[in-house]
Amino acid sequence: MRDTEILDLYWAREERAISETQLSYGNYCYSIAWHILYDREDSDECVNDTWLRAWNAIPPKRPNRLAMFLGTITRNLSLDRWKEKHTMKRGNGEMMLALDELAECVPDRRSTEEEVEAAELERMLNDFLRTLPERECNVFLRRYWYVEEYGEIAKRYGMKLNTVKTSLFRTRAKLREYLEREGVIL
Amino acid sequence: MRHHGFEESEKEMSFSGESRQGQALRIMEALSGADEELLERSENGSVQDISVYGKRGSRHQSLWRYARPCAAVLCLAVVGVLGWGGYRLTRGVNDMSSGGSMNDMALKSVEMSADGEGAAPEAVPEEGGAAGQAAGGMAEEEEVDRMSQENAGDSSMGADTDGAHDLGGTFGATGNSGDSGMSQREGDKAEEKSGDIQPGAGAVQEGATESATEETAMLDGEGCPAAKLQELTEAEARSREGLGDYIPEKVPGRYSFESAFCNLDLQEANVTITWSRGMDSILWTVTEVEKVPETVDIEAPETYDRRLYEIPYAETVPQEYRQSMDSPVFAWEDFTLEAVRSRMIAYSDRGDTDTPRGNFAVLYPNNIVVRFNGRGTAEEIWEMFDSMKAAD
Repeated sequence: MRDTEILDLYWAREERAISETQLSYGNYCYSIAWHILYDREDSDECVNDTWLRAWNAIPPKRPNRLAMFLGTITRNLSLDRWKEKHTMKRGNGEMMLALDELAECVPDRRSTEEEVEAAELERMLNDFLRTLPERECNVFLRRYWYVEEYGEIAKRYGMKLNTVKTSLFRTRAKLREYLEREGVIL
Repeated sequence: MRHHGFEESEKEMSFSGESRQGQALRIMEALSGADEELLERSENGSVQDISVYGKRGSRHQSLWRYARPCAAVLCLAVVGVLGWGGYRLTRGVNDMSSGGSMNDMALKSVEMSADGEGAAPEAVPEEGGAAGQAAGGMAEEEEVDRMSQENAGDSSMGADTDGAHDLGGTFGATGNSGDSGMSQREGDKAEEKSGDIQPGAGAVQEGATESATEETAMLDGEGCPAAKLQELTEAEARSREGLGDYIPEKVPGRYSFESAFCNLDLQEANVTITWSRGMDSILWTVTEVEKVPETVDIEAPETYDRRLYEIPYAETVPQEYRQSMDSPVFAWEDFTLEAVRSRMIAYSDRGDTDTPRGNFAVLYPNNIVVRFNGRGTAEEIWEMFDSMKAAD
């Protein structure tokens, strides 16, 4: 089924939209989640959550590129899940619990200042990506957006493994230089 | 994210103790906002998609299919032409250097020039002519003999390798190989010639000539003072107190002992041993250093792993890693087979063997540094290190 037809199903609020999305983009989204989480159960959950988010977002949204739209949702959910798991690993003691409780008292900057900063960083990263040669940009995105392994990227683009590593090394150096030049402190 | 100038925000970040991983995660999250267009492009630019496109457009596919064979045929043709040209050129030069008269050489060079094989042959008769005028046919024969003797040394050791600068100080100056010995004799020969030209010079001039001879004899081919080397047998090298235990008991298959020596110019106790196997060679130097060299961080492969970079290294290796990449020193406790693998690389150089080659050093307790420079598989080299008495 084509994207426009799937989107029509969403707009018509037909539940078949979910199964059709699963059919067309299930593997794609699962792959994104898997590369980040490396856990079957968590990946499945993230993919299912993606369909729910999409169901809630469409309408009013009507994304031009459904794959990217769904992929971005899966990626964000997977990153959140990853952070959640790693935070849990870091502290199981009472101290961490106490800190978490106290954290509720801290004003939520994310809603104001941090939101703006995150958007600014996104804009900068996009600007940076546009300055890269096409192949370099592709390799960077495959690694840090899709979190693919070096070998997968090499196979995808018919490159040598070392070329992929070198390309990424250079791009990271460029990004660092770019962020420093822009005066960004994370 | 903060901009410089907001000092309080920096403090805030350090207070919150956000790790580098956490900061990296913020970049990762920000990447979620990457342009869909760019993401889509990264999907479309893949090899798989090219082949899919090929199915749709048969014309494109057929071009793609035939382009590579055509390129291969073209490459073969170019290689063939170059090979034939090189063969003709080499034969011409060999003929000239192996006993033909100066007239023959000149004639051949004219022929070659007429064949249109470039400017290189033109330089040969000029040299030959000068030598002929100065020394004549006998001297030419001696030169050929000497060259053939020295070529044995050159072919085994001169073929190497990455860390040529490592060898320069010690090995390059040995009498039985390399440029230094030859140039020293050339210096002597030049001295003889000058004697021939002015046989009746006064005592003062003779004295000056003698001192000049001594000076010349002390210089190597680069005009640098030649190293004082004490030749050793393999057994003598192995019995050197404190150092012999760091010479491997086991060498890779078909390698045979070539030479061993101590560099007497160095303050530090040292012994060097070499093995060769056809064009392959191994140079193994054990030194008791006074100043302990800085070792590489095994957790930072970018500082020593050659596999991460491509030739030309001058362009791909970052400035800050150049030194460690050229000659890394591993601490013995960090030294593993994987570390050896990171340094032993096979290069597909034309006319060369495909044996992996590389160089590195290992710092052992008591300030002993073992420097390896040569060829072999990583496993073979690892076994060498493992077979040292000191490794027990």
